[in-house]
Formats: sequence, C-alpha cells, structure tokens
Amino acid sequence: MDYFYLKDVISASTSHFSNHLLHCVSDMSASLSSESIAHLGRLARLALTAEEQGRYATQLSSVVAFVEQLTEVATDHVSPAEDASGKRTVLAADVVRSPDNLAAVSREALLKGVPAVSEDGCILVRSVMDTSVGGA
Amino acid sequence: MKALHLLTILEAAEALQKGEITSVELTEAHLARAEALNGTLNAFVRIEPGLARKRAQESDDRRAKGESRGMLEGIPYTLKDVFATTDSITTASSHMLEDWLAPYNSTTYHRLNQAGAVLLGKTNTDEFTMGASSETSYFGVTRNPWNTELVAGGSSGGPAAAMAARIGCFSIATDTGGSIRQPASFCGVTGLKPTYGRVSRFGELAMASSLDQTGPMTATVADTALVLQAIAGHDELDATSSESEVPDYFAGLTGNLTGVKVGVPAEFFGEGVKPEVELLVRAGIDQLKNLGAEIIEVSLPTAPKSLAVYYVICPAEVSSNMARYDGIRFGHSIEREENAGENTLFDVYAKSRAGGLGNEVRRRIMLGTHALSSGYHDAYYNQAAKVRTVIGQEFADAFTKVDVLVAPVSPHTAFKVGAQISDPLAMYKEDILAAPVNVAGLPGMSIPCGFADGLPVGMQIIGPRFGEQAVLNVGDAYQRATDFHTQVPELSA
Repeated sequence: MDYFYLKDVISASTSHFSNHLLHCVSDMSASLSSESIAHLGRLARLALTAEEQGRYATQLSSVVAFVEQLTEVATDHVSPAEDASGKRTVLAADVVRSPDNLAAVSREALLKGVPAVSEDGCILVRSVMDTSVGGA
Repeated sequence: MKALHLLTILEAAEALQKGEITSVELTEAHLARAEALNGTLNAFVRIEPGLARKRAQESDDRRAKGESRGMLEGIPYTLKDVFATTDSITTASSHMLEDWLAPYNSTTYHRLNQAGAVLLGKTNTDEFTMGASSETSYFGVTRNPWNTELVAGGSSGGPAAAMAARIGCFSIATDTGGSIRQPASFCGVTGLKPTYGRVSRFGELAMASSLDQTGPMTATVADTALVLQAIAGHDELDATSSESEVPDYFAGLTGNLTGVKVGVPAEFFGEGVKPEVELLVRAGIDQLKNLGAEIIEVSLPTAPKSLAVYYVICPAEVSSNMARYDGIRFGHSIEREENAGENTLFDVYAKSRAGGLGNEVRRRIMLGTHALSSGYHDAYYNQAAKVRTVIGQEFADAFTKVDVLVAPVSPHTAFKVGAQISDPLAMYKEDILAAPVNVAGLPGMSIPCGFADGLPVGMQIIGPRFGEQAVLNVGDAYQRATDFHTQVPELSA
C-alpha cells in the first residue's frame, strides 16, 4: 500500500494522472493472489473454500487483465457517466401513497420469508455484542 | 385457421374479438405444448396451469360482458423468473430464492394483469440473469429448440426457447448486456431491449441497476410493438423510469423505409464475427436498401471498449445489489439449519450467501467488490464510467447522421451446451456486440435475418434514446418483405 501511495504522488505530477494510476493498480492486481481473494471474500461476506480462493484468483485475474484496455481511452476531460437515464436526483411529492401493486404488501407478507422471527413478530439477528461482559 | 399455438398476438386477438376462439381454448393449447415440450427444452422453471386457466376464464368472462381490456386481453404469455409475482414463486433461477414468494407484484406483471394477459408460467434464466447461455441456472440448462444439443443463449434462454417453440404468444424478459437480444438471435425470434427508463424496473430482481431493462420477445415486430405499448411508461415506483410520452407504437408502423437512413458501424463487423453471420446481416442490410433505405457507413471507434466498461460497471452494481441476500430477511439461510445457534452474525451472512448463490454470481460479487474497493475505485469504476460517457457521445453523434444502426447481435450462432462454461472470460465475450447498447442506454432489437447451417442468425437494429418507433418500423418493414421470422423449429414431444 505504501508503494501504491507513492506512485499516486509521482503520477499526480504528470498530465496523465488517471492513466498512470490505472497502470500502477493494474501492475499490482493483474494477478490477484489467494490472499487478496480471501480479503475480498470477507468484504463481500462470502465464505470461500481454499479451492475456491485459488480458482477465483485465476479467473478474476484474467477478467482484470481484460478490462485493462480501458486505459487506452483518453478521458482526461471527460466526466463519468452516472447512469444511462440522464436523470439527476428525482424527488417525489411528500405524500402518503399506495400504488396498486403494493396493495398486497403487509407486515405478515414481508415476514413470511424471514428465517428467524421472535414471538412478537420482530426479525431476529445474532447479537454482535459480547453479552457476557458487563451483563446483569 | 392455423394451429392455435402458431397464432401471433395480432392474429389471436383478432380471432378472440371475432369469437372464433376463446382464451380458455388458446391457453389450453399453449399449456399442452408447455407440458409436452418442457421435458426436452427446460424452458420453464415453473408452469402454472391452475393460475393460467383461472386467468383465461376471467378473460373470457370479461369479453362476454363487453369489458375487453384491449389487444392483450386473453393472450397467454410467459415471464422470465426474475419478475416478482405474488401468485407464483420467483426464484431468479437461484437456490437462494428457491422457495421465495414475493410480497408484491412487479410493475410489468401488474400492467400485464391490467391488460388482461394470461400468465402460463415462469421461464428459466441464468442465475440472477448472470450468464450468456442459461447454464448458470440452478434448475439446469435450457435447450435450443432448433437443436437441443445447443444452448438457447442467455440469460433469457427460457423466454427465447419458449417463444421459438411457440409456447405463449409472447414472453417478457430482461436485458442487461444482451440477455434479450442474444438468445433471440440464437433461437430465431424477435426480441427488443427498450431504452433504459422506457419500462419500469420495479419488482424486476436487479442485477445491474444502471443497465437492466425489461422488454418483450415475440414472433413478429408488430407483436413487439403491441407488448411494448402495454408495459412502457412512467412508474412512480422506479425513479429512473421516464416520464416521456409512450407513443402508439403499433399505429406508428408504416412499413415504409423511403428516406430512412440506416447506419452501418464498421466496428461491429470486425474480427471474430463469423463470415456466415456477416454474410446474412449484410444481406439483411441490402434488403433494407431495396426497401428504400439509404445505407451510410458510420464509425463508433470506442464501442469495442464497451465490453470492458460492462465488466467493471456490471459486477460493481452486482456486488451492491446482491448484498440484500444476507440470510436474514429472506431466501436461503443457515438459520434454518440445525445447530444454527453456533454461528456468529458474520457466519450467517457469509455461509448463507456462499450456500445460496452459485459460482457465477459469487464471481461477479467478488469482481465488483474488487473494482469498488479502496484504492481501486478510481482506477476501475471511475475510468469505466468515463469511457461510458465517451461511448454514449459517439452513439449520439452517429444518430445526428442516421435514424438507426444495423449490426450483428452475436458473432456466431448458438454453441454447444458445456462448450464455454468453464471459461468465464470467453462467456463474457459473448456480449461483445450487444453490450454497447446497454452501456449507452439505447433501444436495440434482434430480428431473424436467415439461417446458417440450419441455425437462426439475428440482425440487430439500434436506435437513439427513446427511438423505439424507428427501430420497430425498420424491423417491421423488413419482416413484411421476408419470412425468416415465420419459420419454426420442428419439435416432437
């Protein structure tokens, strides 16, 4: 990461900042290691076996190498597209509304798919605090 | 009269109006076909005979009372299994949602119910629409009706195979990077991806929200115009849906191409496009010229970079959209298993997701997580978003000179089941000629333009934003002069 940061600073002094940055990232990421895949798995909340880590490392590396061609397009003075609708922030009138196709939505219907529900109809989630510490 | 299942929407609507047939008869004919052929094709995740019969009877009752709701009244159709429906399970062809009953209806399904159409069942797709062959479906691959050793394409392989086999008068599908047009091309049917924002995405299980769009698959362009009419238009539940007026697409079909300017983008005929495909698409362009169109060579120099843009932006949005499948609110969860109590919150997330989501979905989540992670976001996502702007501008410039663009849909015809499934990058390249349309948010349609070794080839007609009418008109004029779209595969039950 230190190396990466240093390259940023150097690239920033050139007129092709973004392309240099992309090259430097690509140099480091063209082959993703099993360790970086394990890190991504944690970020993405996906349990991965060792076999999967190895396989994804190879497969993701080939896709990352493929998308490197984006550095070939000059984009110095181009704004990023936000989405294809061309719309900006859309505001709705501040009124209670109930469109026809939401008529069937009830608390009961929404809770039907929940695997763990309490007796009083709340979604149960595992505790994230250690209740044994400082508890009553 | 033709066999009932061979009737187009237009023909069936006319026969229903005249009282020559009932919706119940038409629906029974299509249900019988679905039951007989699904073992071979695997086009359906679920056939819904009870629901279909009930809807057909209700439709006949309305008609008898003089309360017909229009052209789609009593018309049977199929729905890709990514549209939320309260009366049929919605799986996205994933183990994650194998038993999920949606608490609300997608706007598209709601509008089709309002129009009186009859749902026959939910069709197969690549899992969460991620794939180009329908092979990533948890429920098995869909077979191509023209040759069952081949894929039907993807992700909308189920809708395309059903339409090609004439099960249902139309099918509703989705297209994020080619998922309507490529299977339409492989199966020899008409398939339209409308402009981004033309059809509401509410209740369509999201893959990549800035690229996804709902559209019809039909036997003819005229039928596509009728279905688009029913599903297009603003929806307050989808902030990206457009408020622009929905024209009468069907009435707007002139059949006349005099003075219409057709652009041919050189970049879409490059290396990799099979000679037999290029030959048929070029012949299609000649046909348009004979019908009075002016053919103009154009260039879209950055369009070939669309696929790279797509495989940054799509996985990035996938990684975000798939976060909702967390094992807590709905879907597959280890909380349902014995000894679940031994797990931490993190385990509930990570193990439920790993167990419920298939290979391709997990691969894209990882890819998108990488593209969006700290230190990489600028280099990947921002650069892709900038190239997306460049590609959109090049298309916009081209449309100052021409009314539509014509190109191949896919570089080749349908491939063998299993041929590419172990090579993700090869599968990703399937969308090379289709993804530019999604990246730029344009309407694009595949129509049959001939056969190579007995397999259908599609010709792609691309229009400017909200230029569906021009796309439909060119396709309709072409179909009035040709009969490729009327050919159906020989299938025995």
